[in-house]
Amino acid sequence: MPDISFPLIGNRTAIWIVAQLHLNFAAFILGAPIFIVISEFLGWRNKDARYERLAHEMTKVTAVAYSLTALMGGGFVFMLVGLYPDFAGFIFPRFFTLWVLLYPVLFILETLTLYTYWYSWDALMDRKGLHILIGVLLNIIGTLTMFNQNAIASFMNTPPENWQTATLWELVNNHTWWPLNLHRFIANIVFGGFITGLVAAYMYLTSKDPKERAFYDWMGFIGNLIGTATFIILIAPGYIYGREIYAYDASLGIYMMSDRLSMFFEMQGILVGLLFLAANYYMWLSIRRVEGSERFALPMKLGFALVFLGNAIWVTPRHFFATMILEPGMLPSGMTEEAFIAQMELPAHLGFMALMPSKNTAAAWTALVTLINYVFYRIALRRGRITWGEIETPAQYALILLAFAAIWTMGLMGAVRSLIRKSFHVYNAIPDLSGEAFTPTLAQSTLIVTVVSLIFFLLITLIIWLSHKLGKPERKVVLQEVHG
Amino acid sequence: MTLWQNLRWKLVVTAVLAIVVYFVSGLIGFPTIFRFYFMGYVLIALPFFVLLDLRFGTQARHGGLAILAVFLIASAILALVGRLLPQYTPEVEQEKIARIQRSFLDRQKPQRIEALRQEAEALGLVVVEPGQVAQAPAGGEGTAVAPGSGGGTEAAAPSPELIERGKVAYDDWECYNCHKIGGKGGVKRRGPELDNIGNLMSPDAIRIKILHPTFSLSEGFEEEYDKVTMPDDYNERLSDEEVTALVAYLSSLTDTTVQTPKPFFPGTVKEDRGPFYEIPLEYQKTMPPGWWTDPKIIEEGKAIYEGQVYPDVVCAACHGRDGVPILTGAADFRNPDLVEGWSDAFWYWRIAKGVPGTAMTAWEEKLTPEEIFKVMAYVNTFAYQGKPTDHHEMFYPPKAQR
Repeated sequence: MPDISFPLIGNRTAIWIVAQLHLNFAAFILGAPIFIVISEFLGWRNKDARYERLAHEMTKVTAVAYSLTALMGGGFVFMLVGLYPDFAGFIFPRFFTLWVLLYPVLFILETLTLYTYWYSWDALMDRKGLHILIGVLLNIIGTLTMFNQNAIASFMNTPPENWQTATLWELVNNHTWWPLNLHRFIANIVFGGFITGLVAAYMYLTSKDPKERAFYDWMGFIGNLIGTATFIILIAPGYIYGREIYAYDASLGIYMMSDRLSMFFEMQGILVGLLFLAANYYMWLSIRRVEGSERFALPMKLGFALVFLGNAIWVTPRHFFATMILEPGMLPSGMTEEAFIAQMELPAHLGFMALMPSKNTAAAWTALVTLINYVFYRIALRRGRITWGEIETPAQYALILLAFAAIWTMGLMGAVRSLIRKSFHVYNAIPDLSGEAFTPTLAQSTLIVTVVSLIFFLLITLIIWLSHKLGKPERKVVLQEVHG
Repeated sequence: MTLWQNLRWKLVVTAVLAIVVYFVSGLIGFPTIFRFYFMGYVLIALPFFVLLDLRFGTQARHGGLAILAVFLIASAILALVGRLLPQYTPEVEQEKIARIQRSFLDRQKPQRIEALRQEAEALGLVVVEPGQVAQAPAGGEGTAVAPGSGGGTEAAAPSPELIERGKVAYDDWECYNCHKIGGKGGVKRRGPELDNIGNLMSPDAIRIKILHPTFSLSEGFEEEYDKVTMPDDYNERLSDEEVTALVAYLSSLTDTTVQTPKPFFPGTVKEDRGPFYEIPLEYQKTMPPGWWTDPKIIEEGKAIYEGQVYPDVVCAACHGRDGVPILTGAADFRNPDLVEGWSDAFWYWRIAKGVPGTAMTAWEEKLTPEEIFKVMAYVNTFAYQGKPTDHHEMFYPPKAQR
């Protein structure tokens, strides 16, 4: 069979784009229902219609996003089979039970549960417990679906040593399956939280009705709170996942953190800094509108200085070249290697700044500053009054930026997870003989990640427009009647 | 607050801070590029702190367009940053990948041929060996290079080309991740510097260490040894040619100005760590032919091991009747990597003379050389689920010294 090459962009870029888009949508439709159900539960228990409405509006977005997730997933499988037939021939039979039997069953069950959850909302308004139970079931099925696919993705990175003779369970329960499950589970909630903030920001910025703006202002606050809080938690599973990659094969970890992918982590550090700054700036604007909150201005500014300092340490590289050792072409003409390294690399006594203990300390105090800012907000609320719908507009742009940074970070780290396999489809087992097995430069990768993020952004915008701007207006009336 | 009021003190503070950061980081020892990098952080903070004190309205004009603008600006900035950060040339890695994949596919060739043969036979086709059709050209493809031969005669020094190929293999397999040569390599000390390894280990010992990392360890790296930080699958990943070249390259490293940590055998105390391959000549013996797999010899060895022959010689008391060590620190003979790393002479020497500083005493006063070899033949079976198995002639100590 002749080799197929995807026009213009090549096979790898084509499957990269479709896989990442699928992952972005999947992360959203798996993460959002977790806090949708929690939100619905809070609305029910506290008799607070805002939580109920938040849950309902996000389910509306999720229901539309679900079909696009499936579309991207189907596209991914077709492209995998078409563009990488040898690899598809290897992976499908090995994971036949998971991919060909279990996955479709879970997918159908998830579809049925999601649409039951969505369409039974009004019908089960008087039987809220049952409706929430359907939501919980939806989350369980969704999580199982994710675990199912994670097994294949993690196998490709860290196959068991005896993969030729291993049982299916041994292939599934490979070295990084659980770390990936944990990491993605929490990351999906982060993602869902920030996308909720995005939806709220869209609606706030385009609404004229003060009541609507008050609701979307509150919704944006909740989205940011969920996204940021779980983002702080996410640092630990991310670290555990990285450690397990090292434990499986130190050379993979080193490739990731100190060699060709090291500058990808510089980029990640910048994005994490951006996320923390945007989240804290949003909190700054949230506090500023509370009466009597001026006294928090100075400590909060000090906190911002600490966030900058923490991020500067986080992003400090070991050296200003992109590989572990100098490669041909990196040395400027007329300069010796020793002189170049002396200029570009941390000296031995400062090498600790490039190691994880320094990075973890910086990350911990950045997270701590964020938590303290939230405490300030709670104290301010106890003494002052907040008027929802009256937040300064940059707060909404901060929410949009947060969502954007989250989408972008996910794309970048997805690329890293995939690229640590180096020149293998399955690390150390099945080589990628396609000629595209090398690690793309950061410039090329960031361009692809940007394109993916923009496509996702446009699609999610379309979804929000379809679900909200074309929604039935009487729905709002129903909710207001029920909850006063 | 006007923009100027917002800006003026911040400008002053930023300027002072940037200068302080630049000079203080210089005093600490940061290279210039890092000093500019820290200054850059101070400068980036300025617009942010200005933004903090700006006041905005609560009504958005052109909300939809503003949203799009935020996305496009953020996209452009991130794509630009991705371009400005240091890059590498993919061609360098592509060449390396081509070498690694060639080696990988070569190693898989026998399995692929076997799979094709089975497939053909299943289809009812007659498989004809290449030799049955035509004679292979002498010295052509398929000529085996014996491990440890260095691609030439034993005594001959490795050629500069072989050493150069070894350096390429060193880079291809990213040994620099954990080891340093000439000060270049991983910042975290996961493995010893190798600048003087050629003076500390024989080429054959280096070969065993690469293929069987548990063979020896270096002073100061006991923790890494216990964690088996060094990958133990190079015997599957590297081709014989690559190993031979790598050994030649590492053996050529004899820079005594660098303190390469001294290698030693696991279980030896500091006082016993003499020159790595100095086994006294009188102990450089080899197992009599056929004894490794001779059931009678193995049975006699078992009787000695279990204390049935001499009441005061009971190896099983420490090493366990079934090879599961009873005494902490006793060698675990069930580990093939361990026993395969021992030459006949080394193994014989350790039993005869004992391991100073440990509970392993010298047994030469109680056992004859033949009895020691019988015990070795029995113990060797622990590594192979009780099956009598040939103990491959390993490369330690160097044949030239025997």
